[in-house]
Amino acid sequence: MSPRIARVGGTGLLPIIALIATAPLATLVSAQSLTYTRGQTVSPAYEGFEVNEDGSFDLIFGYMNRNWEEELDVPIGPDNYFAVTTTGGLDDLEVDAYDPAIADKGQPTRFLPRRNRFTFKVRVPADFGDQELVWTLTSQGETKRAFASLRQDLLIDNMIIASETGALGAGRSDPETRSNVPPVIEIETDEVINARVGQPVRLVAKVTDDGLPITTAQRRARAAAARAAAGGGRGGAGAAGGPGGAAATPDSAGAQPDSAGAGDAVDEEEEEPELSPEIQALHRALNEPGRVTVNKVVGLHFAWFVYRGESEASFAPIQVKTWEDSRAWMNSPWSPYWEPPPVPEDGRWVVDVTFDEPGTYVLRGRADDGALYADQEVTIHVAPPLVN
Amino acid sequence: MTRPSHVLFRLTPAALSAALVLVLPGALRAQASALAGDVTFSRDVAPILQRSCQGCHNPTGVAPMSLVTYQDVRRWAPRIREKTQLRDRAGAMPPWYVEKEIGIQHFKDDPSLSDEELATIAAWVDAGAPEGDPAQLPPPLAFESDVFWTAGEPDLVVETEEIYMPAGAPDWWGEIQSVPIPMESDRYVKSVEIREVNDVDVTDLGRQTVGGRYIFHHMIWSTRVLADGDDPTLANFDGAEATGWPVHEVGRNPDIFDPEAGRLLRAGSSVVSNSVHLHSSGRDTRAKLLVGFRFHPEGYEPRYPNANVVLGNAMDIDIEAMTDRQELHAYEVLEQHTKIVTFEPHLHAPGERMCLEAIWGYNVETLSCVGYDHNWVRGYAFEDGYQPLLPKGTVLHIIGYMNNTPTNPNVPDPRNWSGSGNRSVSNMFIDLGMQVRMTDEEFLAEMQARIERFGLTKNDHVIGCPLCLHSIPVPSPILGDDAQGAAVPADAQTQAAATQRR
Repeated sequence: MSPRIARVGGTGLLPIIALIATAPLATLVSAQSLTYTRGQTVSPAYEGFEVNEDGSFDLIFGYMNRNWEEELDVPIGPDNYFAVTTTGGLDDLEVDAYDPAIADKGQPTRFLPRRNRFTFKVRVPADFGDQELVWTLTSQGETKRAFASLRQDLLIDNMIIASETGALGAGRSDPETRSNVPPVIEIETDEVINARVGQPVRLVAKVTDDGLPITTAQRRARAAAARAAAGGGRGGAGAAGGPGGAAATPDSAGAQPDSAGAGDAVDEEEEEPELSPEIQALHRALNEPGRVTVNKVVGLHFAWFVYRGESEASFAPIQVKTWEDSRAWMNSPWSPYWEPPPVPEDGRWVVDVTFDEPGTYVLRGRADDGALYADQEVTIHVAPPLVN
Repeated sequence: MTRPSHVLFRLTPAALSAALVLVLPGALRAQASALAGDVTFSRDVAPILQRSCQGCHNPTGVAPMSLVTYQDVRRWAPRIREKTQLRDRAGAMPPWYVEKEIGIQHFKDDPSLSDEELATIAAWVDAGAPEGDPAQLPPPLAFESDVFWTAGEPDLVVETEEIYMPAGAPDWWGEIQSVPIPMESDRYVKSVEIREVNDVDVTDLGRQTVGGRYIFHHMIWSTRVLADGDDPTLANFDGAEATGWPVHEVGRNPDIFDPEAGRLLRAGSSVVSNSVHLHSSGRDTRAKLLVGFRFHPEGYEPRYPNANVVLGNAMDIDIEAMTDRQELHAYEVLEQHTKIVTFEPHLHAPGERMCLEAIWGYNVETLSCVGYDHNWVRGYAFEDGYQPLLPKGTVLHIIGYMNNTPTNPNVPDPRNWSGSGNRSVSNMFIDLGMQVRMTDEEFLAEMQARIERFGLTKNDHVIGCPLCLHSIPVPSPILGDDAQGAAVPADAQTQAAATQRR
């Protein structure tokens, strides 16, 4: 038992109250300090709400799958459903509010590892008022809920989305960054496809984007051009959109340890102009990343993943992870040292997908410019393989 | 409806106040009883309020009520007792959350109340809050403006543009207009203090939201010499001649630099930032920041460069619903001898406490534990001579404690899971404190100076200085011409003799 809880004094009551009122009583020594690969639960997450032009609201959800590898499958049903209630109506997790008529609000049934933000939206009318839309999810035998309301603290706009995903580092923007709009996806294949186990299915998605936010490489090139234009002096106007890195003087070194986004400058590579790109890359590979806040590498990319379906799918080429894998050198925009794949010249992203098990799969394609995103889905009915 | 077993109840302020009265520590009750009948506002309570409260609680201050005159204070007496008794937990007044049973206890500009002062206030309230003889009042403080500089009157104040934040706006991050600094010569700065001035009606805070007294929830900023033709609205430059400064955060106290590590404010520079975080207060609000610099004397030169310690982990935060005391952990290996100048927890709304440890070999020592309230983010500057002196290879470890239950009023909806993010209602986990790095010689000299200052003997222990009591003689050239070349003397007599020789 923590000495703090045992201490009774001027500050003793609050921990006692917390102790009394909290179940379980034992200190939750954080499971997040232990990197479980499997066996852990999923928490649904309420991200916040957007206001639509007609006055309606989009309530936005994501989730946290505590496993670093295991993808969980939770079908729509008593373990995965939505319900509408008055404030507090479903606070008791024992209350079963499953109604098949309204349970399905487009939520995933396949839960990728770790943090998945802004995964789907549910539209509610302008007069939703103080009702709550509640997502109930039971995994590994534990029930958890996300309570969506119109509390003002949770109002979302594009800046919130960009910031919370880590595209703004510790929180930086400029007029150009703020003018960014989401990419647009046009699926060139059918929305419903029939296939067989083992049979590759080709998916083609054309993605268009405004080219914002600019990538690190683009920012550096712009800064270099500005310096050249200024006669080799400091970067001037136009060198915008990147981290406010400190100059390499002893007096300014404080900018890194003092800034919440210090890691931005560290793992976005301090320039070593005298070394070749290959050697610079090697040095980066051997350096520990120094970030302390959610940080995402920006740059347009497109990836498919299984949104609903009981089994996995194999994609060729390998798809970028759409979940927050924060480990270095992982194939994820949240991974230090990751670089986005080349964008096809014609904007068409082509992938072949193969299934090992029959069933109905909903594949989601997410176009992500690093700050904002767009989603489209295809449904594939996979039949058993033909028997010769 | 029967309350479900796991649903928490929310304490009303009145219930909390009553409950707190019931659990005053025994020692304080005893002290209060001893003082009963012998404590007055004029003689005993007013000096406490002057030192620890009136900086904000004055007729033009940021607090919702003035605590200057007896008439001001009398009607708030029970509330004053309640808030001061919270001590190191969120909601406490004054907002200073150092836990007194653990770690280093010497800090600069510490407004916290001692046990004796808490007992004095309790006894005064119990006695009916008597005024006493007004002739015994201390000389009144002067409140000539609506900005009270905690660190002392600045030598230079720079004012940002006024920002407008609408009532219902979501959080915003971006740049502010660069502000030229009127200086004709370089100066080194010994402290910087940033105060937000706004038109918030502190008597009517409107929407209940964390940090609701202010709209500037952070500003990451630097001072830079801008070239001719630079766009002053574009704060990000890759150029040189820049100085970084501590992050300004909501309700922040001053930053006091190590006396040997003043920061350079260059002539012709400007305050620049492309990372201002604004959080709506629930009302249409106009606000600006005043940046106050205090200078070292001309001719000052710093000795120690700042260290580049990145300590935190806000990437993979996983805060369960309706659960208290959820721990977060982060580690950093010191690659150089380091002096810890300040400890500055940064946790956002669900944060309740953070501890800082130094791990040297098998030895784990707590340097400090502090409560946390995201309405009043504090940086804790260790007093000179008490800053941790940590050898290269020490592992710094921070432990964050998150309270996502109704007992934490800063959390908008504790029924919801909460993760990492930049919003005030999301989570961060960082120590934004300041450190300086030292060479072998400087490190040894600092420890020697500490030994001499405090007359340390071999039975002493210095929290945060695992090598301070080393008994290896240090060659004189390392310590300088005046040094004895000795570490901790074998006993007190030897220490006294050593002192006489010097």
